[in-house]
Amino acid sequence: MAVRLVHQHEIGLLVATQAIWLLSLAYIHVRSKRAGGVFLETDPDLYYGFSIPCYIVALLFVACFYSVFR
Amino acid sequence: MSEKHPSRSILVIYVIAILLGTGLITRQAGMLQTQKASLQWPVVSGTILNSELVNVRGRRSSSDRCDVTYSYTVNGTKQTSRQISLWNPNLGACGQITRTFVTDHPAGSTVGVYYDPEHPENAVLIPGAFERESWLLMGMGGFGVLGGIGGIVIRLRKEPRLRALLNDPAAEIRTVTLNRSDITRGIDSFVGSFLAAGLSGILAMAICLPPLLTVPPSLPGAPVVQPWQWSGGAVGVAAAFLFLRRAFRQGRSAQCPLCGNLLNKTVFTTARCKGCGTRIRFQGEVPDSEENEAYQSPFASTSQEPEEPTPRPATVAGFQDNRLMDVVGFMAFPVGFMILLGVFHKGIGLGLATIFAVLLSILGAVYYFYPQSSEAETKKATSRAGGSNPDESEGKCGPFWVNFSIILAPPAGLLSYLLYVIWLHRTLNPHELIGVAIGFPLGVWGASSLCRLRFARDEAMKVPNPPQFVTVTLLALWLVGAFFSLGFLLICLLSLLGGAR
Repeated sequence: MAVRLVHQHEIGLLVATQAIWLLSLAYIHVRSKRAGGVFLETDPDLYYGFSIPCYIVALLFVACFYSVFR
Repeated sequence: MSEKHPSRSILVIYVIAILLGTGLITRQAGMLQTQKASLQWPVVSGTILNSELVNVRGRRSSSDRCDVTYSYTVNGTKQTSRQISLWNPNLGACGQITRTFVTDHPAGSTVGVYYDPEHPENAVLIPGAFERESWLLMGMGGFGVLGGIGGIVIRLRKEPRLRALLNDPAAEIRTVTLNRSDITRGIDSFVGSFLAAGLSGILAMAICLPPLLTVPPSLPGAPVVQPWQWSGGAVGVAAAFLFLRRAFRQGRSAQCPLCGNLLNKTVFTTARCKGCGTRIRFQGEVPDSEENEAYQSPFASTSQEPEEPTPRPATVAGFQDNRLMDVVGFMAFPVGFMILLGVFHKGIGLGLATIFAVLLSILGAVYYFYPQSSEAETKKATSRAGGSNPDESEGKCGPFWVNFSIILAPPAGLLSYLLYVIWLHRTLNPHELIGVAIGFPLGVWGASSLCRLRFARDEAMKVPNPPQFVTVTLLALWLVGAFFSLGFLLICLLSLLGGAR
């Protein structure tokens, strides 16, 4: 979806979606810090460790599709 | 003894309100500007190719929309469009206006077509904006922003008082006496009046808004709000304000007299205010001293003995506000994301966004009621309670952010370049394809080599290993690198052979 927003030059919505994603990571960080390093019984690093690569790779696949075929 | 801080969880809701409100205002302001610009677009003569009234049946009701196709010529190029206006491309659900438009524009008739000089394929038959709708939505956004800011200001103004109450040396023994029936009545009245206020507001909107938000008032045949509708709407709004005022007045009997926190019915089991930690004694009831002694305050961990971590049950029973805040916060962002896209993006309907939002909410409920294995939490708790050297605790992972960033640098770099290409609305040419097919694996190789050096250095310095997901990410990078380089090479070959693109 972010790639589509870039393609359509919808900067406001693009920034809003990215801000939401970053806020979710920040929220996990803050809450886990407050709970002594655990967020929903899981080490918060695991959330960053999976969500960030998955997000980048998913974007990469869609970006390839757009930049090669469209 | 460390200073206690009052919970700031409520601030998340205010921040979300501000973000959503700002997004709504920005989006509507942009749309309004674009729609108003269409008034300045050049006009050419066009021909209606097809004009039909289509009845769209929903589950409970049906509505009409126009299926109109017209053609026009700009700079010698013939264009075709189906867009009637920018604010409602097919005049769907506009009542009589839709039917009149089809009758007035039969196939073969000539019309004035307003086209965007920069993108001639973008044209309309009715130029201009639906300003009333845009301003209403911007007003709602402004209401959200002001409400969010007001909430934050009020909450932060209460902060010093709450902090003083929480850190008062007598906080653990401070007691207020309240009447149980007053609290119950206060909570019930607050909830009842609040719901009544919401219903009155919805009723007022249902009476007033449909005629106001069907079509712009400048169009011939636009519905007019009748006097009885204005009166009904005004009565509804006034009732909503009165109920809201009543809710806050009657809710006072359920407030903590020290911090002003609105108590809920869990206070009958915890006997303590959540806002300031004050113990609450109920009037006319003899306090059960044994029960009071057994009660553990969340702020009363003065014991020097290490506490045994309590094993978490297989399912969560009862209300755990901290866990709820975690789950709600965790799920609020993806749900907000879906709603944002559903409301503002043309490609995703609100229906699909709602389905996703509901699915995510169900996932959140699963998270809430079915906790994961308590192993991680128990390990942390044991480590904290034992007060041992953190380096000695089992499963301690070393720093990983630098290695992690190095691993992610090649895909992030490629992604940035591709996004730049997408932004320019072009596709990769054969030279760029070859460059990416060779450059990306080189980047992956460089990142891997750098990580190998760093891992070797960390091992020599006896730095603990990074978490397992770092190595998994590195493995994934190799797979992704191989996939993309092979894919790009294949596309490049096909492109050179003149087949694929």
